[in-house]
Amino acid sequence: MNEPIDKLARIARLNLTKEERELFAKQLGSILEAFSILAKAPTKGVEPALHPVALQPVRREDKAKPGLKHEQALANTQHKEEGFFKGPKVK
Amino acid sequence: MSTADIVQEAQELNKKFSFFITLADPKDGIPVAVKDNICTQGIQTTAGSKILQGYVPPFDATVISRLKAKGYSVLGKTAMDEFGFGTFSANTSVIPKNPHDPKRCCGGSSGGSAGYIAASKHARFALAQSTGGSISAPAAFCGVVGFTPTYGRVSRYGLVDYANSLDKIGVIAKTVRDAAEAMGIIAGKDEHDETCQGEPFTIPAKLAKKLTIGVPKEWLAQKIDPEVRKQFDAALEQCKKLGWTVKDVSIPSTDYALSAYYVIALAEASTNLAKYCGLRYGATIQLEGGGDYTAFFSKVRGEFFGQEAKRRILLGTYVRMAGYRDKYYGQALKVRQLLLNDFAKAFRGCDIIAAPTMPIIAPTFDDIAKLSPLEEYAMDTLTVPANLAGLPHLSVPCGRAKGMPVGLHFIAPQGKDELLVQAGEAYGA
Amino acid sequence: MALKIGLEVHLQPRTQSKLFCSCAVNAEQPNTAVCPTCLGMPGAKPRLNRGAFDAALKLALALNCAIPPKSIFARKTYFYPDLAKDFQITQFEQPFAMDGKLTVKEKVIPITRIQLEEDPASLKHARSKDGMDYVQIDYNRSGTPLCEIVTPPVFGSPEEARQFLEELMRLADYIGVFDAQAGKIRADVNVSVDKHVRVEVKNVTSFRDVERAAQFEIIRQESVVARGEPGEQETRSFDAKTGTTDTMRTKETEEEYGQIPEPDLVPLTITEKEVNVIAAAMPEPPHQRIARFVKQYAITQEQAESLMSERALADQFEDVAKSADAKLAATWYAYVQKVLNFNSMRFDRSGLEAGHVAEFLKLIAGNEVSKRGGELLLRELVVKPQPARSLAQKLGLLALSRDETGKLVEQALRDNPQAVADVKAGKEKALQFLVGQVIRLSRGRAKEQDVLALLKKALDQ
Repeated sequence: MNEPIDKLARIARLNLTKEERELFAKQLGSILEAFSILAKAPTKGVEPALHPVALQPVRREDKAKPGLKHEQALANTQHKEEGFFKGPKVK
Repeated sequence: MSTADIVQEAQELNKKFSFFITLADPKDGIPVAVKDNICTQGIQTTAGSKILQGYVPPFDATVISRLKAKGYSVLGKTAMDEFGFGTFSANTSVIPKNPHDPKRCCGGSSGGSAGYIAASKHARFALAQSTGGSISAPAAFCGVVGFTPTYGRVSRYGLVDYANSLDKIGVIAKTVRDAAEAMGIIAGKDEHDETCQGEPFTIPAKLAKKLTIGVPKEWLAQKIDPEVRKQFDAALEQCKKLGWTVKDVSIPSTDYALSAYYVIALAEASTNLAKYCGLRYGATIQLEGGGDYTAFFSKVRGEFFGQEAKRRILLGTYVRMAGYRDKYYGQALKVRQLLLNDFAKAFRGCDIIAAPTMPIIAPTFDDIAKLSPLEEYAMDTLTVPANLAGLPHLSVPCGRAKGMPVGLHFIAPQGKDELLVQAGEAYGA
Repeated sequence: MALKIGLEVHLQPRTQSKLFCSCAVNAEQPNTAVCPTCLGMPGAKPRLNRGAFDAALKLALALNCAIPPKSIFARKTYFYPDLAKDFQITQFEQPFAMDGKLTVKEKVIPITRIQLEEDPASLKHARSKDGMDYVQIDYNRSGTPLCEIVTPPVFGSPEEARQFLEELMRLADYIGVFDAQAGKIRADVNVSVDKHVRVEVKNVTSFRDVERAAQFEIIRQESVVARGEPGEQETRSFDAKTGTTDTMRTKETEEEYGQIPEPDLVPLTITEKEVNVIAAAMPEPPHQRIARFVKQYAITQEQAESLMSERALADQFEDVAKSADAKLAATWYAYVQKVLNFNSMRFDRSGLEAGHVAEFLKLIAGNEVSKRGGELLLRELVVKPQPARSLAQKLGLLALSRDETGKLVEQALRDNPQAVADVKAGKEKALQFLVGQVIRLSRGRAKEQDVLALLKKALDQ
């Protein structure tokens, strides 16, 4: 693996314990090594398949509809005040 | 058999086997067990993860709405690997035990649903979900029927995403007919999910023709427990007795399928799991002392994701980084196309593909603890190809090995879900 | 020093609902137009809004873009409290429109690409009583459709960048895709002076501020370059109060977004037929219409450009010009616009109809209302559209009849015997004086030619 664990953990916003850091540093390399068998696959001229089935174009009409009630939207968190969600500072 | 009977049985079974994360207490309707990654309005939905502890969805998944419209109610939410990350339903806090041998796992990630169907006297079917084989594996390990429809046949609206191009909601049931009836209720186009464009499910007439069964030689060449293999061979003999033809077929990209599956699944999963950051729902920490947004998110996610989830997020993040995306993610999407081509070619020479569902019987929890991540991933080699190709597949019980159930896997071409029902019923499941 | 300025403009097209869900756009009470999708709740799924796509397609065609037959949405993953899913659904490798152009003051500005994407939520900085900094988040904005229009760094001055933005907004308004008065735009301004690395100033919210932000960046970068430093590649924010830019956060390198195609959406396919349907419904492009107006109606370039400020205005002008004198109409429509601007109103919301204006112009052409009276009349007419003649009557602006004028002429002659004598003595100026007196007595309502004729008649006697 060509990236330090700490860099990946930072990108993914994951605090790791010391044990996890050591464990993952060991494991990720060998897992990615196993995945690199993909390079041997005969994919020349093959198109990538984003979905396994053919999908038809689908478009929704531009009409406004009511969604969640205000109270429902805020019901699942304690981080709220005066109708707003609260979040950590951004600098 | 009343609503109350079903509820009571579920509570008793749960005490013994831990099939459920949440038991609801429905007063009417036919109570149905639902895998905990399917949103149920007013009932806690955690997808087996601490990070969604206490989350109560304000909406029902489409499959739940459709079941309720037909007189069903939600019995409870069944145990599963966190977000579907696992083959044994052991990567989670509520770990279901196999009713055939409680020292063994139920399989995963739909372990709770499979164990419950195997143990329950009353239940006919439970909702489950598969990304790489999470319906088939536990069905095989628990000796029940697992039905995974063609990708896009059943709406994913309300399914907590693992991997959007791979996830399918399906059914674990006592018999193939039970599974077909459940599919008849939940399948069909849904305007809430752009990728759900499949036809509604019609329960087919009895199979009239004699089928040709294709057995992929590359799959049978893999390491399979000889006792399991014996049961599979016996199952093939039974097929021949029905007048069916059995022949070899080839899926040349088999060697790449597992890696392609994991790369795609993990890349998608690592983006799907980004939303769990302690803000609008789920587990969280105090804002005071939580630091700025980077520190806050990292702390919440670090504290509440399990180890397997973290491992998969890190891997998934890596394989879609700009410098590595083409080599891993881009290449994996192409391998999916190779696999689709392989299956299309194989199906020109047969009606249904068959193989053992799993290479082993349900392992003990002790054995599971000894497995490395790669060894656990490798357990999926027989179920992954059909899942990666979005093909409908059916696991039916076929005998026992070392006292534990063995599963026979049928795979049909895309859209031929009904043929699987016919084949499964003709086989006797 | 060499100066490179480029723009990434985010423009909200006119739609009823959001880009990937049916919640209403522009809701005011916080967190009242939200649903599982735009709140990023587990299990929710995006669904593309066709109206938003059609609006974006119209804009792309008006900007002469090529429309590839296939386009995909992508997930851009990063962590910020305003991002409901911690990824934004945007377009990356295959935007839906590319290689367009917009002519601004005879310079052709290339449009690199146009993409459709969703807006994040809105954030407000807050501080608790205990001094803890935090943010308040309103997800009403989360999921609002945005067209992102990208230019290469071709602007040679902050003024050019501003003019481009003004023209872009005018054009988007003209084709009915955007409300230039109330609609929101945000621009990221990329500036690089000489050897200084490219700096992005994000979220500048008006075309004037785009010019100011660029101006400040130039000065700032110039001093860095003068010190012999290459400068820092960073993202900066613009403070509209002070007109300065400030460090925001280090620009995330592309690899951290880890973009993959959005697997919950069906890839967009756009057929030639669909494009033709949209193209056929497009109005005559503004610059073409301006040229035609000048030629066909013999009005000035300036008048034609002014009429083009709103499509409905240009449409009504042509309608009115069928029966009235076009030059007269153009002159008076300019005054209409003055009144609208004064009242901060859009023409297409004024309710002013072709019939109202046609009737007004008849009064003017027939000298039944003087120029001054016309201005007063129009001020009322624009704000409260109604039949012009009866309004003029009500306001006492209709010109006097000949008889009524005659009475005032007699009075003026009586009141100004010296002037009468002067006229008879051959002093021209005295005649003008008497004309002015009559007009004054009439409070501007006497027709000047009547006054002149009646005076002459009376004085000849």
